[in-house]
Amino acid sequence: MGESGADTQLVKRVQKGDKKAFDLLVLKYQHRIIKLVSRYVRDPSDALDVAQEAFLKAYRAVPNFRGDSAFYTWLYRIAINTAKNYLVTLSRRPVEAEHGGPDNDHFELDSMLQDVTTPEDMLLTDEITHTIVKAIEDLPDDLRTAINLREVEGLSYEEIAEVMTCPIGTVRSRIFRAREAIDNRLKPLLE
Amino acid sequence: MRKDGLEDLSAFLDGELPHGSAERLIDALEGDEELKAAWARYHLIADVLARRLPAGADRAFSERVSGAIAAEPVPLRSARRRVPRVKSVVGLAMAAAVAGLAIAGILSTGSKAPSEPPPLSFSVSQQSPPMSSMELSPLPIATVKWSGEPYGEAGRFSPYIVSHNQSNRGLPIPGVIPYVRAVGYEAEP
Repeated sequence: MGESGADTQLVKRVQKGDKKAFDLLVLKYQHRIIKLVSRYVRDPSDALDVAQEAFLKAYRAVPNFRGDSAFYTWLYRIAINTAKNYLVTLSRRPVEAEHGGPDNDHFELDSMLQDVTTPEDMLLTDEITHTIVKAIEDLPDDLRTAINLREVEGLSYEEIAEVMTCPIGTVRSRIFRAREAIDNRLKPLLE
Repeated sequence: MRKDGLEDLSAFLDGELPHGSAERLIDALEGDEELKAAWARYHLIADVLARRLPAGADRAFSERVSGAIAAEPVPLRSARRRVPRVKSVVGLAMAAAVAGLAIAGILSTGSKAPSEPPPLSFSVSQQSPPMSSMELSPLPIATVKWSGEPYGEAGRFSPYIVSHNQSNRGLPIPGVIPYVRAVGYEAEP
């Protein structure tokens, strides 16, 4: 089926009016889209708004998605265009309206602060990353290799089975066990 | 949550779950918050490993988007503009009618001369059909019968124009259908 096949199944449901299926797509792609938009929109709060707008635009346009390209490719284009449109709008906006006038002494400082993500968010992101990396280090070799080949190298189960010289069923089981072990460490952090 | 449900979730994440099982899993995902949370965490793990996690990830983001989507009407496929078939048939009939009138106009101009030349017996071998039935029927063919009497000055001029148009194929007169002279034999009763 392939990863895009799973997306196709979800998209078909959305096209039939299933909003919950779109929530699953948002959960899947939220980080990629936020990261992508952040390359264009430096202010983190604005980047989140633009990313949300991109998802909304995608939802409104999803009935016309014909599957000529992968869903993520399509979503990626929408996100890029939304971010570019935002920048165009921002460049047309008068500076006075945005920052309270050119005489504002704190303009430079405000601008600098807006570019910095909140310490709490940064801390959580660091903690999440650290926890996951540590959990992977602690995995048995066969599970670590399987999850790395899948998530980092992007190999299919069939390709991993060939590399690791084991049946596809074993690959499926190893990848799941690796995820389960990582998730057991991650879950308490997010609750 | 059953362990095999999570294993299916893991396989679905990688696009390695058969279609039927995937449909059942999606049904479960939509109704089971715990399974849905696992879906989100599994993707978070994937994003960290692929270095796709943005700095300062906002945990409430997906909930905000979900709330906004819930407030949206269900989008509909934009209808394609369809030209009704009747319209195109009527258009074709109109074009045929205009072409018929153009031929009739050319021929009638040639027959009306100011100095009243000897009359030509002019007949159309096939009557033009009424507009309503004029769909894809062939255009009427004009048949000119010469009565045998000599032409007047204008009468001599018309055959000249026709001959010129017939032999000058390289430069057709704009808007006028090329004239083809057909000579036939008709036995007198």
